[in-house]
Amino acid sequence: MRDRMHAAGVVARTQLKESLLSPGLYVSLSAGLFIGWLLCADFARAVDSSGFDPRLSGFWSFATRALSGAFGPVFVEKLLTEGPFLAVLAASFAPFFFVLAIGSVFRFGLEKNAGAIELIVYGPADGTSYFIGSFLKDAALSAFALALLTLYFLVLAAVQNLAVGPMFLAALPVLFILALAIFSFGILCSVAAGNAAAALALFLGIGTLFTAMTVGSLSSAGSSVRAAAVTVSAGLQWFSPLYYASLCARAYGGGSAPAYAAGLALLAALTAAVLLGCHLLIRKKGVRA
Amino acid sequence: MRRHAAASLLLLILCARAGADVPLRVEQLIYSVTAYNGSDYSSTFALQTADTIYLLAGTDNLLSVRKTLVYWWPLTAEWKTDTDSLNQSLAGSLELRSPGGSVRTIPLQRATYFSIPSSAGQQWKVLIGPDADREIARADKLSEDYFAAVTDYQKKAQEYDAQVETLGDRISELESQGRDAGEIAARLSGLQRPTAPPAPDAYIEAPEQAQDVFIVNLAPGQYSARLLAPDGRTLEGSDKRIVAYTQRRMGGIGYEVIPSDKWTRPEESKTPASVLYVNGTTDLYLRPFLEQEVNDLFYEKTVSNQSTGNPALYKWVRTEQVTGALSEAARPGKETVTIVEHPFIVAQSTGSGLGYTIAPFDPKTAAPDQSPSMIAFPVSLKSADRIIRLRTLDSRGHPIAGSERQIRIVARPPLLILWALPAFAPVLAMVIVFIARARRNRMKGNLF
Repeated sequence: MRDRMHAAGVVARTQLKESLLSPGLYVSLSAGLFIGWLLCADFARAVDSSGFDPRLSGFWSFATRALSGAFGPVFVEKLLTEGPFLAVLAASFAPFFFVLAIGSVFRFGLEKNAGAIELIVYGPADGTSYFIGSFLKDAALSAFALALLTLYFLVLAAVQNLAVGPMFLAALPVLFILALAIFSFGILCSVAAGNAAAALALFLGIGTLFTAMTVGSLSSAGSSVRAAAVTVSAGLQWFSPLYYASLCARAYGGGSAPAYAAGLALLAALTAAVLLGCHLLIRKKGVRA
Repeated sequence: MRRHAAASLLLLILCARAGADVPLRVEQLIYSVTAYNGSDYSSTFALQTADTIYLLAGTDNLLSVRKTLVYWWPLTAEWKTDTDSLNQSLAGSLELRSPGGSVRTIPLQRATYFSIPSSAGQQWKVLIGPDADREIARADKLSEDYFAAVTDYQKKAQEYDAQVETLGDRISELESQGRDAGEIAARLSGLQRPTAPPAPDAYIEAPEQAQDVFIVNLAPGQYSARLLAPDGRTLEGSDKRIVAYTQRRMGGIGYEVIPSDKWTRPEESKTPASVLYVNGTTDLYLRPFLEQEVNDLFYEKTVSNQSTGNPALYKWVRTEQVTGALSEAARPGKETVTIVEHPFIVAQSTGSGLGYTIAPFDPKTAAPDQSPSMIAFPVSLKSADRIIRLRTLDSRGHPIAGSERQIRIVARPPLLILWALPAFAPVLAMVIVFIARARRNRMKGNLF
């Protein structure tokens, strides 16, 4: 176990160094930061004498109307109650997260195809240490991106006198562990699929299914989308990281710290369970494409 | 002939168009619901096609089953009832089956509901049978007495005005003749203007005529309901599900925030986490209110069964205004200021210019029938203020939990665009990494 973790650490360090040569991560991080600046500046512009009025901003007007239509006005009210940063955090982290997750899945598949992982396995590492290394790299980069975004938002908040409130801070660990859970599903897809394209398609399919289930379940009552989503997600929701993230959000909204912590623990447990599944699968299937 | 045919066709089309403007009425078995929503009674109805009625648990709710005509009203996009044409209350008893399977039958009872003033604002009561009739008779008596007093006042006021006019004319006449009008002037100044009788304050909402209703007061849970006719048969189409729910949290403090330049567009701040962002150009008037947290869908359906909401979300809803409280405003580096509630009057601007002004209400200078437009905490803002922290104190001066709020005056620095530059730091880092790597590779003699 100790050797495996050591090997995973070496793989993670190597992959981190290689990631420094990936333009996609830099560009997506910059894009995320710029989106953050744009939305915060637009939010401040839409504040008048009576408060935040989304009608004064093209983007916020569209976004609030779209979200109100899908999830109801209460959702929008809660999302923007502290200010823009909770919504902006999700929008800013998304580009980096997608590039990182898709890049990791695709790379795993390519290295499997090329026999690179098999080569490592002949040495001191095994398949599990390889994917744990990849997972640790994703975790480290996500933590760095979230830290950078938070730092930038704190600066923007100070400049424009906006508040970075407790809801934003509570969302940070949820978003981080949610990202880890989705990375673990990416690894599962990579281990299960025969090649990089199939792994990517499977990962995007699962991601779309989980997103549709959560969005549908959170939508306003009366919509047929909600009825369908609730039916479909009755059993599948237990496998969806987004479901546990929504549990955390509900617990926080209800003012229950233990339920919030339990939601985080369940999200972490799901991540661990998926990684365990990856370990068992890679032991059975091997690392050959 | 052709011309006649064309004219007839046109007439037919016009007639058809005129006919289509009248909404189609359909006879339906509906549940008429007068439901308590935590602060008030809301009247709504559940269509025959609606499968669920939502009621606040532990409160008296008034239900009746009726046959009436319903129609779709496109202007407000909702179903309406035509009770003038048909409004038949169905006799029988309401059978409720609880989640545990126990059955409870509720009889029809003559009942009324009303609210009286209380220390918490208003208190709602539901009375049945003779008690209801007595209360209605009392309310009618109060109303009749008041109207009799008003009639008497109007008569006396007319007599007073006539006397004033006569004496005034007489004084003018005497003065024009150069005679002494002192005696009449003394009589005129001695006249007492009659005072208007005070409106009865026994009720905030007076009881209406008693009706035959089922008084439903349920513990939280889901129930199935149906109407049993007097002969014991179940009335077809009367099956409904009743969801009895409770508030998730109570006793929260919210604020209605009225900017002085947008009296008609108040904002609401519902939780301590909610930050009020303003541009600091006008003063604010704050009105604290008590609130309860309820499920969005359940509450909306209680108020109007045709509404929709999100069952996954809870929201804070206003119940009553906090009265007799104080407010504290703290600015960073400055002394905390205690703000007292003041009455204000909103006056429409005269002349062609639109707008209004909010001014302190002074009962001495106000017109006799004028009352304050609002009672609120005034918070004056200056653009130099960055953050104002507010909290409400109860009548004993203790801070009310959950009443803390922030008002932030949003800054718009002229060179805000410069703060976008750090966003490109990762791209700059990428360029540096790539250049450094290319240099290192060149030094090693490798190709990049």
